[in-house]
Amino acid sequence: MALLTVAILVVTAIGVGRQYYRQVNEQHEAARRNARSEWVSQGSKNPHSAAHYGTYAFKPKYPMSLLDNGVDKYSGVSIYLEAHKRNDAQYMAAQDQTALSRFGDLSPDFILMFMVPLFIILIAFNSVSRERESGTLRVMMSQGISPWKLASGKWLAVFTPVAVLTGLVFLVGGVLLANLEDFGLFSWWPLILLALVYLLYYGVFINVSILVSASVRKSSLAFVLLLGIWILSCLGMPKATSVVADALYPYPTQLEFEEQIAEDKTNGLNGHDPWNAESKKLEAETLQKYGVDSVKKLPFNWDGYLMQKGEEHEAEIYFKHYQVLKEIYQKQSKVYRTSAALSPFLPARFLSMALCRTDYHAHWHFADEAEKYRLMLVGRLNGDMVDNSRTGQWDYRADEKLWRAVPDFAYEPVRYQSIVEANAGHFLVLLAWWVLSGVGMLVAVRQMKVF
Amino acid sequence: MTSLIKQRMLEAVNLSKSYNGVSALKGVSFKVNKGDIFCLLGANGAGKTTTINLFLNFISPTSGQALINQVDTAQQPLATKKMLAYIPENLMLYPNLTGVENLHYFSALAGRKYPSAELTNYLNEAGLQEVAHHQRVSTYSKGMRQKVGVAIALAKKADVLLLDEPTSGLDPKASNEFAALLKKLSELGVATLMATHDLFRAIETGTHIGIMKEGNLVESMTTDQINHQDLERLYLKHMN
Amino acid sequence: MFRLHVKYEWVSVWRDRWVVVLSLIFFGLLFFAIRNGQEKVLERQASIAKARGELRQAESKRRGEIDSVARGLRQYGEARRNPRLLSTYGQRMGKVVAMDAQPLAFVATGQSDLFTHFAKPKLYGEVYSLGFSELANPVQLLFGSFDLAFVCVYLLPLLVLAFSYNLLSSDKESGSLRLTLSQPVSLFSWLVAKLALRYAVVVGLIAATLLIVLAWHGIAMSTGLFWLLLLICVYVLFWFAVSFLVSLFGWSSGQNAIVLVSVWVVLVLLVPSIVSQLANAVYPVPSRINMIHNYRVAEADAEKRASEILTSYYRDHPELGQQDSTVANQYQFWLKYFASVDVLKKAVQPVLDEYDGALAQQQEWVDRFKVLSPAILFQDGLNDLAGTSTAHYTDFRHQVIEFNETWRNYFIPRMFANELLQASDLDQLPEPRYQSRVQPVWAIDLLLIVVFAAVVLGVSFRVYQTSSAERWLAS
Repeated sequence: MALLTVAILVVTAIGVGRQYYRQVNEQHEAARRNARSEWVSQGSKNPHSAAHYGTYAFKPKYPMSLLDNGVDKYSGVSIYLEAHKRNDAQYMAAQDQTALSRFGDLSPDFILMFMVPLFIILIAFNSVSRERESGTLRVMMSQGISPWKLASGKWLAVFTPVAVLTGLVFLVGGVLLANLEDFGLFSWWPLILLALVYLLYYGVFINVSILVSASVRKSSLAFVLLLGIWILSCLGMPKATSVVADALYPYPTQLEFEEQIAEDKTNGLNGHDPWNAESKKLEAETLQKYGVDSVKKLPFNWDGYLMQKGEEHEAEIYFKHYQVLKEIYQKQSKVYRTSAALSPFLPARFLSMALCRTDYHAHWHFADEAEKYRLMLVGRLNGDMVDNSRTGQWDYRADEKLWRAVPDFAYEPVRYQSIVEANAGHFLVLLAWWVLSGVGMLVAVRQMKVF
Repeated sequence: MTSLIKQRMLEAVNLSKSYNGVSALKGVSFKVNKGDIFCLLGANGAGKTTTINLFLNFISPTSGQALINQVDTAQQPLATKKMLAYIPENLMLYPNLTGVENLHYFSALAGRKYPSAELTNYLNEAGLQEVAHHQRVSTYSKGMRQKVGVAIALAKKADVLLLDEPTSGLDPKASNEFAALLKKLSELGVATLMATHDLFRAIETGTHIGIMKEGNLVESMTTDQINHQDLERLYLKHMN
Repeated sequence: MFRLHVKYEWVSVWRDRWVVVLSLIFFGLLFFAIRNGQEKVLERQASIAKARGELRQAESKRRGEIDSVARGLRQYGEARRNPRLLSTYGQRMGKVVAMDAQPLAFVATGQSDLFTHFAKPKLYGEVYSLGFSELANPVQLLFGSFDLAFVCVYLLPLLVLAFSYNLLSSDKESGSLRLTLSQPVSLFSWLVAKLALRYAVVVGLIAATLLIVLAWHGIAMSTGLFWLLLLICVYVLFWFAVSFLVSLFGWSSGQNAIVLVSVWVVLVLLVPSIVSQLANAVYPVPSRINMIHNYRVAEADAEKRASEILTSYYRDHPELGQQDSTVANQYQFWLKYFASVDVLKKAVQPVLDEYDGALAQQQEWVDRFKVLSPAILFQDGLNDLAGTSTAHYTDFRHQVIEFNETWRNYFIPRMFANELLQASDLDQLPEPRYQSRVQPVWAIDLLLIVVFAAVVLGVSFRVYQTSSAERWLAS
């Protein structure tokens, strides 16, 4: 049967994806080790030079990403951490692939989100209209069956196989994922939640299919209408919403963004230019505080101190501009949330991505944590220079001991609790869809024409 | 002798048809001359429609021949189709076209182009009220559609007419009108083969009667050889 | 006879309410899609123009400053702030290398939402880290864009199927087919005539819609439009052929609809995604991260041996020796950097080449997969016509990198010679000349779709020959 094919497809997709996932994760693990060893064995040099050499932070992949790869293909996997500059995540997978990859991958989420509703439509489109056309509906209704019973009977007839297969798929998927060595962090709760989301999503489609089948005379018309609804929900609305979101809240170009930051930098505090107004003020204050008349007489390395202050100032500038980007993203998210009223696909998709830790929010969290780490790293290095050398002592060198003392970047992902809280809105919209479409279905069945 | 042969417009010669070993028609032979109205009676599945389909070359005979004016329909389908007119059971036509347009289209398919005045004439001759001529066929009743079918047959000036259950679903008035048309055509020399359940019409209008049972032509007679009651008795006898 | 079929088919088609409704919907979708595409193109051109304009302004300002400093009319305080310094000019005032939108860019977004369309070369920074990303919400990239390509690749086949799925079956179901077949006509020519008319209607509708919408948006006509229309016609022909084949099996209208939609799902949704997945599994993209690692190791090593490297660089490039060795070179830091870049390149070039080669091969292999579905071929052709395919962006990247080299090579010898900029030098600076070097492939795509259509039509003819009239008459 059709649903069985779907189930097999999904399980195969997970299996195939597992191989790829393992490969990618091995690459990342190797890269992480390499980055650490590069860092640790960079030899003895001035700590500030080490800060310029920098290191890399790699975004980890989680088991659930096998079920829904979300926006991972379209966001970078590694961030270069260096002094004076906050970098964007690099190496977006999509940029290295051909235009073929823009068609979408045959991943589990593709099948679960696109194909299963289509199959539901294929099964349910004539659930009522076929009976009407063949005349059996007339007989049934004349026997005194209540519309509620009829509707729920039809509904269960479609829902039961769908639910059983979804359950099976998630069970098998869960077992496969739980057995992925080394790439741990798998727990059953999000998987169950995800299954629930999908069941709600499928419920909406079943409701709508039966609604249309009951309201429309000819089966072929029901089919065309439902197909149109499917296309609108799954293909049309997401794209149209993107257009609207981009028109309302456009992003600046990369160049504009960089130039704005550069402008702020020139007009603000920096570490290499002792003639800058702010730094002069700071110098005067510090000199006064320590009661000396020249920076050379300070009990610490003034150059290092100035550079650290400059770094902090720059970090503020970056924070300000990245915050603008984040706001644009959040405003665009609101647009998507609004158009969820026109498509059940949108909230389901966002929920799925959130639960699999592959939505844009997860990426932002990683980027923010990497930035925190970067500031900590540069701070440690500058700090060492400040404490252990004197102003003008540019030949001060630190060595492996200091490099090792700086801990490796250990990324802790967002906890599921906060994911659930943040996405409660989407869940409610999906629930509303389910309830309202269900009510619509019952009303349609009650008022349907029997012949 | 030749004139006799020339009269033979429709002839089944030992016509047989089987599907996967199951015989639908077993060596049926009969002939219909000019002006004859041959009514094929029989239960559903007796082989009436199969016979008509063989004359239309909708199917090919397993053995035997279906001849129209001595031309084998299996050998020369297009040539034989030129000579016949056909009104199927439940004639539907094109719902979005008007009666006149349907008539024009199907006539042109047969290679006959008529100016609209003549088309109107044919429709009138078939008994379709003029008001309906330019309305869409989707608004017609079954009787009205039947009349367009008759007009198509008339316009084709065919020598042979094949009818499949023409009176089923017609009210008595329409049925009567149809019978009158058949008589008129018969007088013009058209040979008609009609498959029907309507015993009454068969006696009233037909010149010959054949009873089919399980692919065999079990009885064949002229209508002046039998009356209605006897026919009914004979028919029922074969139905058991 | 043909004209007869066509005339009545035309009348039938336009009296069908649904045809009119569908046509209007399609018109609306095309309008929205083209408008969207055009907006993106205008944005792109505007940002390029802005970058160029800003650069021109900055250049004329700098020219003034350089001139006044050279004439001694202006002081600049600290040495680092000298506007005549080659290093600062080279790093900050790079020319804009831009990939302008091609005339048909509005047709398909392709890869244009992933990449930036202009870049400025710099003196400092490694080639591999040259960012070509454009800022965007990845959700948008995931969902794809609502462009003409989307409407044509995905929705147009459905329009075609809606126009043709019940061509034979509705006549069969209503019984008018029996009447038709009792006339001396061949089913094949009758069906072909009906399809031909509907094909002409669909193609005419698209052409008219395109022309109207383009005129509305003030988009200029170009020869490319003709090729675009041809490509669309061929794709539509394929889908009519599929519909033709399916109707010859004599199923009911409902069954036809389901079968045809399934074919659509397989060819437009499943096959491309399966192929894409397979391509990644069988020919995975080589690891960039590995490449970075090799680079960084070499970089760390070079840093350790910095002055040693500079000395041997001088040895290898005697022409770069300073005229007056008593004056310290003001670009000392940069010279060390350039020398180390040279060393790094020698150490890392094989890795870079290997990576580039592997990537090119992967993309070549993946390109071969496109023959598996007309939808892929069509999308590929549209991307090519629009100038937004992977090949175009790869080519652009290469040209940016090449210009980067050219730019550096202007400055490096002069910096080694410890020179300063003159105002007149500004006219001698290298200018980028972007020219698309991509070979067009849309013609091949078009041909392959024609092959698909021909195969389907051939199979249809075979099916027709081997079936009896019973198939179309049995009910």
